[in-house]
Amino acid sequence: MKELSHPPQHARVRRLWDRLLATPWLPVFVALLVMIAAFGIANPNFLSVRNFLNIGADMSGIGIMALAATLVLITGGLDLSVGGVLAFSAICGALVMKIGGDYAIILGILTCLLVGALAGLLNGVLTVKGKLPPFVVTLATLGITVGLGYQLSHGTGVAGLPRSLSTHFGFADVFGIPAPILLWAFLAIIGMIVLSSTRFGAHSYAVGSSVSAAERGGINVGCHLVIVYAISGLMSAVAGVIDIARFSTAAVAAHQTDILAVITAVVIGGTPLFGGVGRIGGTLVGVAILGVLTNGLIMIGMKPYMQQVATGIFLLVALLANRFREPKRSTHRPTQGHPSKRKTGK
Amino acid sequence: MSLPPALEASGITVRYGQIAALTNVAITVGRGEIVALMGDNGAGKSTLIKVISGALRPASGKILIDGEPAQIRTPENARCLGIETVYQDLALAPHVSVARNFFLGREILRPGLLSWLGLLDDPAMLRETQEALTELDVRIPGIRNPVQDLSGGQRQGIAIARAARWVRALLILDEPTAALGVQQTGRVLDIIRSVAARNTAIILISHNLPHVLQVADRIVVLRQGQVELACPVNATSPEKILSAMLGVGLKEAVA
Repeated sequence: MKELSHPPQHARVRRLWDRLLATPWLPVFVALLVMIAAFGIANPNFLSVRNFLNIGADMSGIGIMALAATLVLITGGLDLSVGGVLAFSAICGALVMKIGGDYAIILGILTCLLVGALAGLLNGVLTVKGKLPPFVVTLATLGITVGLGYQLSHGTGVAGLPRSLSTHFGFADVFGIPAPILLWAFLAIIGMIVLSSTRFGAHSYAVGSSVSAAERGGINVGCHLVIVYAISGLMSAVAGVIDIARFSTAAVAAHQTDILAVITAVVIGGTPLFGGVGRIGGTLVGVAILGVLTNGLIMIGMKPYMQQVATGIFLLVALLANRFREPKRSTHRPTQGHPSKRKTGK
Repeated sequence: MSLPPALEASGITVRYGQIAALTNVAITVGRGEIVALMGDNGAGKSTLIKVISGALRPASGKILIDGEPAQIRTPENARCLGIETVYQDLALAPHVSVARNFFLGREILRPGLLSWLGLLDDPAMLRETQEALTELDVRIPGIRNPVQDLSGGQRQGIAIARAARWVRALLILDEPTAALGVQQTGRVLDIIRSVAARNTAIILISHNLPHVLQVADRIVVLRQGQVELACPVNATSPEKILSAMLGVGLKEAVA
């Protein structure tokens, strides 16, 4: 009798363990904790609340772009232009503020957002109407926006922006939490709700999973994708607003490799590149890992160049890990050949 | 007094350039009736289906739905008229759950203000999906699971049940058993019968004569864009059907 009572309990533990293993973000979350512990041992200052808030504020721009990139990847697309669109829209907004001073802050922010959304819209229209692969279209947009950004900022940056922007937003805080983090958190919650519980989210997964199924269901796939790319451009511009608010300057150079961080964060978070699958929660963990990595490497005295190397390695590792985790496609049903009428006929 | 047929199409002619794909084709499907549409490759089955489902506009022809003249210009038109088509690719999104696939493009939204925000009523969609599948006895492990976890027969069952959920006049099934094993085929044929029993008109395209003889009430055979044979299944024989499909005399067909 005693032995009989064992197996069910055993099975329950086993099931729990299986479920933990099947949780896609768990290994990544464990990796994050290990990294935090390692950097904390190497430099105890790393573990301060202030430092974590710094990391959060530093990553808010990348984090917001990664939210949009998650959406884009879920629909089976790709937006390589995020860093360029960020810089270009930020420079446009900064120029408006520089000319108009304190009174033009709102106008400058709106300009920035409008430019970003239009750039994204252009990406979407060219991809959909031009029937071009998104990576080529957005690569071209990256080149154009980076070039235009340098041109408008005379190769350096736009400085001398109104002070009140950084005091009222960039370095403002609520109960000690920096405003950029709050904005990021707000957009992340919106993103989660949109993806999990709205028609727009459901259509995004469907479009990424099967364009023909979505079309047969009556979804206007082209229109949906244009909106998705416009959102991506808009989120880049929001990151641009944070950028000018925190640094009181808008420059291109810092953002040319943003795309590496954005895609790495999303892929670490378990969103694959083939569409139809993806979660904001995973992306947030991915951004946290990159933030901890960047900050931690500086805290232990590594040269900043190594961040790029580490990020690249993380991207490759995450891609390989996703590949192994990919659910095995249920092998297709045993095909029963059509009975050949020709043969019966002869 | 009998009701008018769900679908009454006549004089359907389609030309691709100089080639006549369909010439003066007529097909009638009554409520609750399963009509098998047969024919060799290139006989015009797909063309006829495209006309009825709104994917193609014929050069001439008349279509009545429930006795009313209907203009089917687009797939949306056809859907509005209560015509649903299950294509061979099933139009299911593999990564998406069964319930979400069931309502793909026709999601139920939460009532009131929340519908403005596009918020989905997932409980209602889960409930209705479960009801629709139970009603047709489509057996699947879980409606929250992605479709890619299911077998070919289960997928076919879901696609048919989904179309049956929305159909009001005519359900068109394109080769629903072509890719299935024996047991799964039996299940799918049962599902087709249950849908017809709910007073739905069904056009079943199939190459498989035994399947057709099992479920169909009537048979329409196309050959080179024309109706070669149209009669009740029990008024014909496999030999006659084959010879109509091949366009040869009865003797050569069975020889």
